[in-house]
Amino acid sequence: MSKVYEIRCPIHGFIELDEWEWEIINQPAFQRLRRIRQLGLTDYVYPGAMHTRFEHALGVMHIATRLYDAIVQRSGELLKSEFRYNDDGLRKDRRVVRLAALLHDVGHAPLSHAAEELMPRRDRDTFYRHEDYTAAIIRTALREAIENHPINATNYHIKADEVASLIEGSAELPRRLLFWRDLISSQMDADRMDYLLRDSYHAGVRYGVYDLDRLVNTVCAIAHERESTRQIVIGVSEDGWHAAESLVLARYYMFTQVYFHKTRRIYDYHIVEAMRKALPNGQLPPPDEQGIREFLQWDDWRFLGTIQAGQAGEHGKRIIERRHYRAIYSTAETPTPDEWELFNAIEAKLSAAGIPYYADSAEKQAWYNLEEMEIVVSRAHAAPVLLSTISHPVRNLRGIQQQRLYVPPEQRRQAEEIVAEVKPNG
Amino acid sequence: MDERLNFVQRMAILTELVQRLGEVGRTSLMKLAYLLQTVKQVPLGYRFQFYLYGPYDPQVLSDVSVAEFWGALQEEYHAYGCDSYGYKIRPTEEASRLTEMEHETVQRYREAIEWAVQEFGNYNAAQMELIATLVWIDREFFWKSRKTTMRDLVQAVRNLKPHFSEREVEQIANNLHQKGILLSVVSK
Repeated sequence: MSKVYEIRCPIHGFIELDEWEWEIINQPAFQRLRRIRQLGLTDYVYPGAMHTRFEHALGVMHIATRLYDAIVQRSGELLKSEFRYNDDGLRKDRRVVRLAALLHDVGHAPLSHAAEELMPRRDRDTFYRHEDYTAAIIRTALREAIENHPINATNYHIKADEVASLIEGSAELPRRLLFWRDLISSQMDADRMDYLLRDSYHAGVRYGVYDLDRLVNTVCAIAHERESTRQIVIGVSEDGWHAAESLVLARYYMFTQVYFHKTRRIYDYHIVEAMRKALPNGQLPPPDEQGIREFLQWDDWRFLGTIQAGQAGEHGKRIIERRHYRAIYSTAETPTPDEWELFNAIEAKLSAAGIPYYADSAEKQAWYNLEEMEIVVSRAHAAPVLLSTISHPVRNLRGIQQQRLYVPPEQRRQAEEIVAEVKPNG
Repeated sequence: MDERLNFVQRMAILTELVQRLGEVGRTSLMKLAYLLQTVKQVPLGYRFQFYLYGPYDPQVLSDVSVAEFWGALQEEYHAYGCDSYGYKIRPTEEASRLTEMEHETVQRYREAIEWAVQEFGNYNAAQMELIATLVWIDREFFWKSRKTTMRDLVQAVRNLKPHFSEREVEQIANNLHQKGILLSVVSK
C-alpha cells in the first residue's frame, strides 16, 4: 500500500498526495514554484497576498480531483458510452488529469503573469506562453519522475507527453482527454476555482468567495447541441446554476477589485520593464532544450535580487522605493465611444507635452480576462441551456475594456492639468 | 513588441464581417476570426486554444458584447426546436459609425475580410467548426515540422469529430488544400 502524504492548505484543509506525486513535487522544477508569487507584487496593495504558485498548484490538483470524481459518479454511463471507457480507463485518466492539474503552472516566469510579455516569439504571428514552458519542463526536467516511478510503471504507464499535451491542448489528444481538458482550462476549470478562493483569502477580501461545494455537488457531463453541433461538455445540473452564477460573479468582482486594481496593474508594468533590463537580451529564453535550463534558473528571488543590486534600471528603483507611476485618467469598465475618444485625446496631449506615460488596458491582462462564461446547465425536462440565458446578472455582464493612463509621480500635477483641459466639464 | 490591434479596431473588423454577412452565429464568427488571424495574419491578437468544439477565444465574444454596447451589433438568442439553440449576431443601423471610426483599419484588412466572406460565408456552423479544426491541426503539424498526408490529416480530424463522415472531411480538406490554406500536407 502506497504511503499517503498530507499537506495543510488554508483553503482546502488537507491535500493528499501519494508517493509518486510526492516525488514529483520534490523535483527542483516543482519546488521552484515556492519562489514564484501567485500575484506578482500585489502585496504592494494587499499586503497579505504573498502566496505562491506552489500552494496554488496543490489546490488545483485537489479541486480537479474532486470535480473528476463527481463527474464520473454522476455521468459515468454517458462517459462510458461516449468515450468507450471502462473502469480501468477512468482510473488512469484520473491520474493524468491530477498530474496535469498539479503541473499546469510549472512554466511560470518570475512574478507570474506580468513576465509573460517577455516570452520570445514562436513565429511571425505568435509569442510563446507559459503553457509552452510548462509542457517543455514536463517533457524534460520532470519526465523521469513522471514515467519511472514504480506506481506508474506498474499500474498506469502514463507518459510525460500525455500530461504535457493535455496542458497544451494539442489537437492530437484523444477526444476523451480533450473533454477532461475543460477541468484544466475552460469556463469551469479547477484553476480559476482555486485561485479565486486563494487570492481572495490572502488579499483579505471576500470578492472571490463562491459556493465550491455546491458546484462539486452539481457538476456533470452534458451532451448538448449548439448551432447544430453536438458535443459533450462539463457543466452543472439545474439545481447548481446559482452556484455557477456565483463563480462567474466572483470572477467579475475579483477582476475589477483586485486583479485590475490601478496600483496593482502599474506594478506589473514596472516589473516588465525592470525584468527587460535584468534579462540577457531583454527577454526570457525560449522553451527549447538549452533555454529551459536557463529559464528554470529564474524565479522571484533571483529577479528581486537583481533589483536589490541596482541591475534593473529605473523601473527596478521605482519598485524598491514604491515610487510607481500614478493613474491620472481612467475610463469606465466598459468605455463608451466618447470616453474612448477622450482617452485618445488625453494621450495625444501627454505625448505632445513630452510627458512620459503608460497606457494600460484591461485586455492586456488576458490571463485573468473576464470573458463570456458559456457554462452549460442541464435540465431534467428540457434541453440544456447556457447559463447566460437563465441568469440575468450573467447575461448582462459586458466585456471589460477599461483603459487607464499613468504618469511618473513627478509629473502628475502637469498631467492632471492636461486632463482637466481636455475633459469636458461636468 | 506586441502589435495587436486594439479593441476598437477589432470590433470594427468583426462588425465589418457581420455587415458583409448580414447575419452570423457565434460559432461561425469565432471561426472566421480564427481564420483571419491564422491564415491571413490579421493581427487580432486573440489567444485561441483548442477545445472539443475547435479553436476558441472568449475575447471574441467579449468584443462582440462591447460592440453591442456601442450599438453597432445586436445579438439574439434563438431556440431551434426543443433540443438546440444558438445566438444570431446582426449589424444595427449604427454599425457603419463604428467601421467608419476605424476606416483606415478596415481598409487595411479589407482584402482579408473579403476573402473570409467569399470563401466561408456560405458554410454553416458545424462546417466552420470542421474547417477551423482542420486548419488548427494543420498548423500544429507545421509548427512541429511534421509533413503529413491528406489521409493522416483527415484521420486526425475524424478522431476528434467522429460525427463527420470521412467523405465530408476529405471534401473540405481538399478544398482548403487547393486554396493553399494548408501548410503541412505534402501528398495524398
